[in-house]
Amino acid sequence: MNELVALTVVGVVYGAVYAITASGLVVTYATSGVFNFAHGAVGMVAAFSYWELSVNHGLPVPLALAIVLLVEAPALGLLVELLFARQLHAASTERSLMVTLGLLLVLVGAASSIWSPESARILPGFFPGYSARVLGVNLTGQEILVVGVAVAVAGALWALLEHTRHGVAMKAIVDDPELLSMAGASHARIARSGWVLGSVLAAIAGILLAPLVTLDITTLTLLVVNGYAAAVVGRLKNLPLTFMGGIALGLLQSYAVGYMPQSWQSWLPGIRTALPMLFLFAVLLVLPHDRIRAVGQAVARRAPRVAGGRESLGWSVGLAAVAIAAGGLLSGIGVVTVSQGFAYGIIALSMVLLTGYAGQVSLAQLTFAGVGAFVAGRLSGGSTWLGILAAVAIAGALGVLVALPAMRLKGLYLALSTLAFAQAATYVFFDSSHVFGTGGALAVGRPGIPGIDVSSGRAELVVLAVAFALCAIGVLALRRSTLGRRLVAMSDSPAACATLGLSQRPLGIAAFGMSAALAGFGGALYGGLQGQVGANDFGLFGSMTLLLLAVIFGVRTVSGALVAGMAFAALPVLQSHVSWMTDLLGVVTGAGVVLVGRMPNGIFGMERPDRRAVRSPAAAARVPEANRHAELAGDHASIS
Amino acid sequence: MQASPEAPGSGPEIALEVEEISVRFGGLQALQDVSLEVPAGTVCGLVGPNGAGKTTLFDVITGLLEPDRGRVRVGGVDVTSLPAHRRAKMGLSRTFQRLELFWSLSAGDNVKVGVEASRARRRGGSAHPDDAAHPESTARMLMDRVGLGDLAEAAVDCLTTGSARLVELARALAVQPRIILLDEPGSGLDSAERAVLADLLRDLAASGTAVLLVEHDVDLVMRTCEHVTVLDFGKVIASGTPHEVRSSPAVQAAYLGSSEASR
Repeated sequence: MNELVALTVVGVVYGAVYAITASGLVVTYATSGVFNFAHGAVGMVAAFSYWELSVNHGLPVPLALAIVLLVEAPALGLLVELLFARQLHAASTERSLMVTLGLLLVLVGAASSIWSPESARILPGFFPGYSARVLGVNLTGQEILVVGVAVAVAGALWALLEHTRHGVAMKAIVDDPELLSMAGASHARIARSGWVLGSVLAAIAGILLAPLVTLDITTLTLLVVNGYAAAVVGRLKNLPLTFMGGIALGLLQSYAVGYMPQSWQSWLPGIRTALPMLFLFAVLLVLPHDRIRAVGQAVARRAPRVAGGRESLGWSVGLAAVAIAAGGLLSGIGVVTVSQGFAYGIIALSMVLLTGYAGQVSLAQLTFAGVGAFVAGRLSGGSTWLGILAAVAIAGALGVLVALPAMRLKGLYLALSTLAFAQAATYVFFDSSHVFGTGGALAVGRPGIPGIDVSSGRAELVVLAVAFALCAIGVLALRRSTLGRRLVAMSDSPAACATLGLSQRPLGIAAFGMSAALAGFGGALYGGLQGQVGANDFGLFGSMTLLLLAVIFGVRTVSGALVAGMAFAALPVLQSHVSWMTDLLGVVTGAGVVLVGRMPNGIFGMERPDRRAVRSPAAAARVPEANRHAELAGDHASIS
Repeated sequence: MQASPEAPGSGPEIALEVEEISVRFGGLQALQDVSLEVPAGTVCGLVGPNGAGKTTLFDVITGLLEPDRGRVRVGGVDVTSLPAHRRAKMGLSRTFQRLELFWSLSAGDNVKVGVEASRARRRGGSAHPDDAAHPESTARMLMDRVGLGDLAEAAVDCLTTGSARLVELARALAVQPRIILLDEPGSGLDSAERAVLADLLRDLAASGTAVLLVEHDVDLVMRTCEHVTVLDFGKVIASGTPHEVRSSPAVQAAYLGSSEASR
């Protein structure tokens, strides 16, 4: 009985922090329409800044708090809103996801450069030495404070949203944005206060959480997943439900620590750490799905030209020739880097299929690659084609399994469930010694090709180049097929597809399965190239970075995928030459995406002379009128 | 998917039946007890001032919006609880007032997606590899039919709103619908294109298709529709032949001061 009370109290304390961070996410999302993946990173930066001021520089606690909470956090929120969030309001979920993911990487990269992860820091709790007995449980001052702050935040949000004019307007936006814009309230002003408020709440949560867990960049950034879960309980707009979700998650974790059978943990050591992800996944599964809606011509985006069969074959032969030549010219490390680039390029091709064509975002592509490498390594050490085939099949099947329940959720929720899957897979599966072996190093071989000595690095380079080229030809052929057209159509207008009799679910599941299979193939080849792989090769940050690179270079083109793969392989090498910046990769990628927010097709998908453009004189004559008609249509659209 | 019960012999079959549909958005009663019927082989008009609820009714009929009350029947079968894609497979097709084109595809490919969707349906869900050549020509034929034969290769964002609407029309026809709902197909069209549209509507009706037309162009409505239903503030205020409706005092009151009525 006592144990139950103790676990409950501890659960409430943690749940309170999740509730605070989740309420910030909800406030920002509801007022601006942007789900801020960087929410946890904002809290992380705030916690580190607070440490810097109060511990490192010895400023008095109230002053340090005031600087972080009243100056830094609002400024950060305002900056984000000014820089790019405002343009995102009308943009697709896919694009706003990319930009906040980019922001996450920028903040993580910047923080790693300022506060080197090598040295350990300790952020002491508030009221050190104070403790009180609550319900027979000893609570530290920090723990009591956390609950108190959560109650205060809940109260303050309630007062703001129910009893101030501005707050009522914010709430109206949550309930019905169109109604509010008709009533004439300034959407931009409300979104701005949403970003500022969200940012301050993230900072409060970060500062409260750091002493309870650890002042660590990755931990604090990813703990926001717990906040995601709580926010999703409130369907990203209901604050009371969000608070309840936070507390429920805290309790669940706490009870798991107390009551989960030991045998579970010896089998799956990461199960406890993965609980929030499993919770998020479970909540997503029971969410009622949104109906498809006709949204009108919100974003007219023209796709990059799709290469024909002969053309892609020509490029492939060229690519193989370049690989052969490069093998002779490059140094040992160069050969390895370019080979890795081709393997990552194949994984990036899986993103072209899923994100570029089907318009869905997955943050788990490296996870599928990891599964591929694992399967290939386990089956006769990866040195047979059977192992590669099995890697493709099992990764693809897993992709279908993940997509089956998640597919009825689109866009943001689907991305969240892949994030939960990727993290849970890392904790429960990849980190387990049963998977990549003790010390996390599973040997993976290379399948043989008659007449070629695949043990040589240069031969392997050519093999990987050819493999990439074949995958690219396949992806392009798919794009030109009926299925490819349907995927693109579904991404452009789900409503039109539905009225043509096309159902979203099977298409999405097919795209997800094929994409996971392709990622698994890339992972298996990557494993063979590296010789041995571990959990670190297939982390969530890796998936995010590769995806963002693909978006920067053009996630709707295979050339974009190739360059993204090369860049992903090259960045660590470059980084070893610029030691002053410990996380070049994050900063470059993130900054790139922030810029690319304005260029939806990426660098390789930019407008070129368009061969499909209007040809006949009769057709040309109709074009100049386009703008005038578009305006007229717009007038109609806004009224009825 | 069940076949609709064909009424043997007796009068024209009611292809689409809307019964006492009500929809409320927060404090706004968008539709209230709206009923109408569209017999096979006729063009019926649905008119009313902006905001009267015409597009909302289309969304309810096609399954994109769930009504608070009321039923929708297609060929006598109650489809109120079916998702949009199932209703489409029963022969219901539509265009959108706010364009819902596939912006990444060429005009011809927009239509081809529709052609392929209906082929897969007829083959019991499985696409057949040797179909590949045929959808292309079917799509071209449909583009010709709406008068856009020369624009198959064009990127859809290069088109005028009028042409883009015609692409949507060709795409909606591609699934060989028994009932087609057209949401302001005439807006943005020049007079020559309107004439093509009017002919097309009559052809469709002659071939047995039920057409429900939302249109502001009174002239087009008068020329093509056998029956007109007038909506205002979500309620049916008049219903009858175009001439009856035009002389109805309620309709004149609803349109008073509106330029659309006097055109």
